[in-house]
Amino acid sequence: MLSASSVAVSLALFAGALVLAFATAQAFSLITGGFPRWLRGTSVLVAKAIALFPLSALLWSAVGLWVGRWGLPVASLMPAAEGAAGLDTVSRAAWEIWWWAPPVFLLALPLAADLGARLTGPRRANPWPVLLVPGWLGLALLPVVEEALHLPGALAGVVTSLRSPAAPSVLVAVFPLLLLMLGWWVLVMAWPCKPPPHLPTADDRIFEGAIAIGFSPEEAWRLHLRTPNLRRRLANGLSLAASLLAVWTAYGCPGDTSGAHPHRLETAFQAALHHPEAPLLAAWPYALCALSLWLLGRIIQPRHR
Amino acid sequence: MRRALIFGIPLVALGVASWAAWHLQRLQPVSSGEVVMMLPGPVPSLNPYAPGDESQRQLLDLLYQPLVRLDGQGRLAPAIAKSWTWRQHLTCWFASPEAAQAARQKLEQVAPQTRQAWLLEEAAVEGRALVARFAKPAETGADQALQLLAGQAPLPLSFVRIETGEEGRPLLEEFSRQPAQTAGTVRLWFDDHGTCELVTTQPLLALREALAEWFFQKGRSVPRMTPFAEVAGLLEPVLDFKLDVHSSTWPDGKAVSAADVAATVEHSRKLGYPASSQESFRHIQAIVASGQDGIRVIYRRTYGAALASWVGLPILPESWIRKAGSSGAAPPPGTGEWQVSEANERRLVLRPKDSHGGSSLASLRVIPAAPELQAKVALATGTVDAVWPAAGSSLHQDPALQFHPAPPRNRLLVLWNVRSSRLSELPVREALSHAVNREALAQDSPGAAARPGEILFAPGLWFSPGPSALPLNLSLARQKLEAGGWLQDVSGIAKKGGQALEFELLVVTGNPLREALAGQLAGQWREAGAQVTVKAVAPESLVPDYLEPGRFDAVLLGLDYELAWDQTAFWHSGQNQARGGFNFSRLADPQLDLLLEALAGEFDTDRLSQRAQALQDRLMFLQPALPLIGDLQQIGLRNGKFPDLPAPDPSHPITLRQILRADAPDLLKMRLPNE
Repeated sequence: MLSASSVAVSLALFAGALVLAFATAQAFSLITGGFPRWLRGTSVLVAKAIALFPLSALLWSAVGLWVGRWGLPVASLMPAAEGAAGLDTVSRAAWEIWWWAPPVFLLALPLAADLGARLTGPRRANPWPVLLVPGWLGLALLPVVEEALHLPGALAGVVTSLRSPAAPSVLVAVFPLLLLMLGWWVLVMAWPCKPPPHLPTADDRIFEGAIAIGFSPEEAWRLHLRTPNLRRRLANGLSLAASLLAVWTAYGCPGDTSGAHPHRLETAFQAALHHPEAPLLAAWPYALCALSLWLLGRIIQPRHR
Repeated sequence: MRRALIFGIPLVALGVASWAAWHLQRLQPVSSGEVVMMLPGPVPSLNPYAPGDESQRQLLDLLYQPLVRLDGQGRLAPAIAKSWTWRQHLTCWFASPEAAQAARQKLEQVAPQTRQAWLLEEAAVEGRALVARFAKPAETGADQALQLLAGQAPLPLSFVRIETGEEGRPLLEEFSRQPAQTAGTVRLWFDDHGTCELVTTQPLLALREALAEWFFQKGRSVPRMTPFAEVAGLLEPVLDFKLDVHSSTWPDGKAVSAADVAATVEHSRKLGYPASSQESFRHIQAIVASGQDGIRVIYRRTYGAALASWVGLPILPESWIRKAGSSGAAPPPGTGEWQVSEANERRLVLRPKDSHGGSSLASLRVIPAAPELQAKVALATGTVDAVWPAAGSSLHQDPALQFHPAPPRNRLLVLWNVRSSRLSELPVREALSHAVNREALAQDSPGAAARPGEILFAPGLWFSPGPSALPLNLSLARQKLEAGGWLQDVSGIAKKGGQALEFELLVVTGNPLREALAGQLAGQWREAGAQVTVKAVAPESLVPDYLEPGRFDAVLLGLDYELAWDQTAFWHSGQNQARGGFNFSRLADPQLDLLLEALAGEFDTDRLSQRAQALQDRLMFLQPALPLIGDLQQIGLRNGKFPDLPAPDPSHPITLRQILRADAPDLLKMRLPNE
């Protein structure tokens, strides 16, 4: 049920996580910028591994460690607590901050890792447009955080709806999510930022060189650009598949008719309070699979001299 | 500046969040003075007579007190009443006070040894009536005294039934208050349908004329009058309660009075629950004050199980019943050790009353059910101390909880129709009993924990007999069938005279748990050679269409355990044909009838166990029913919160009142199923 307050909660979470992730990724990029090449590559790999690790597993492990092992509070998960009512001003502020902090931090984690990997990659992108895809990733993962931490956000019911056998339609279930994603795309596209200076890409230079030595445009494309383009598209497809796999796993594998995957993950999540490592152990094969897809994409991705 | 922002945002966020977490961690509840309990559903409105589940029942037990309750040993214990005594009153009316006085002198002339043998305590004259009080009801002394008084010419008492209906009740009450009638009308009683039973010393003809004239004056048709008995004196059992007026008080400080008790009974009868008390309340003639701190309940007939109707019946204030009893807007005040200090849909806060020193706790905070994860987090962070998990909840497996069983409340049993063509043979019923694996049924009970059920009384009561089910023995079951001529064919179905041992097991629709259980039962009986068809019928048609006309072989029934030891309604042959009786099995056994009557009439609670055992032995011999499983409600207590409690034990049910009391008394002792 969409309401103004639930949308506000979702947007506030997303905005907070995005700001935190953007700043962290920039810091990560700055720090790793001084690393030797091999260490920078390793850092990117680690960051990507975090980004592709199913967020629900990270989240449940964090909750299990924080609550189950250390007995520390998570405000949104404590029904018996009286909330901020009856507390003094400082405690009330602490309560409110801690109500928001865990979801914001947990949502920011994969975003920061993904953004960090993008900003630290071989090609430094202009920071603002590069937020588009991580923003979508953040919005896609928002339902996981809202559902797990029992937050009254607009997307809190998405995961449950998708996993319910009685769900009327996937489109209906994810409609609020698609709306927010569309809104995010519009915002990024419409954001008034200075366009980057036009620099010819490697493909442009190859194409121009081929024309200059006498190839027709068709021959130049066929001989020099078709294969790299195909490889690039395949690499992008693999990267997208990796991200989708991470999101699908984070959602608890909806649509898996055999039920084996959801059951395995759910059992591990339920045990998280007593065995915080259980969700990580249950989810690492999926993370490894997603990372492999992404790495394959990196291998396929044509390298420009 | 840009770098400062880039590094500053994550660091500041981390720092602020760390401070908030540290601050909240310091605020975590460490007080042992509060207990937080999570319910299996929303915060209830707490109707003292209709608890929705076990958790509500136990909350009500904190807020309201009965006159008598069960203690931790399953025995009768004082609550509002600090003591109670049964007596017998013999009342004879005479033509004049002088005649009554002469009769009293006659009684006083009886030799002391005889008086002692009669258990005669005193004789008093009240107007034209002589009231002789005996120490025990249902003894022969009153009859002998009546024989002695026969020579003093007591006025004959006529019992007349007047069928006026509910609308005629005020007229009859007004009639009995007329000056010409007050002397003659000694008792007036109405049943649930308004039919009046009048006891009078007047000649019947005079009464009939006076009544006819009265109704004629009021413009009403003359009701039908049927005299049905004439006696020389009224024998009435009397239950005297001595109240604990110092600690059993309402929140406004007033003590519980006879008017409160009478109003509670009237309220209960109007509402029709608790159902188990209604039969006993029907026999109450009057509830009157007796001295400063006493209440006297006068019964119309000898009914030993009447005491049971007071056990656990919450007494409510008359003022509340008169004002708000019908609206039910707010929960009534109670005399319990705890009282509600805050109630809304988010929480219910109970605090101990000052007058009770039983608990060292400051408050009990009751919160509605939360999703399982929240409950687990709350347990892990120490913000919830006790949980009533819903059936099938994974909280039952949570190692952070210790589960203690609540007292048993109901059980499932298979009732046989002993007139059914297949099941009329005792060996068949015995064989089917031996073929049932009740432990497997309890373990496999889908969605809910269960324990073995009993045929008559809840296990753990002071008079409960031992286990009432035949042990599992499949080979013995087959032997019994073979001995009865039921031989298994190649398909494993027992047959006799060409007819297979097949019958229908009725189960009500809309209850998947029972339907699953019926399926399990059919499977177990199939192994013994019986072919059972489970037939689901609508709940509303079960009794009128199947049980009352006897159109069934076996039925799976869920019955509440009742404390009342009067079990005649279920098993007495007199309840066979009468509409409204519950002897659906059509059992008719003279010996059983005698045992039932003896148990129902037993006033001495120390002799109940012997009588109950005899009754159960007879029932086990006759096998009219097969007890299966009983409910097992459990409260989960957070590890370490109640260190003084003993370890959980299925045979030791515990109540919330016991948990919250600092000096928890010994727990209700129950026998193990095979003990």
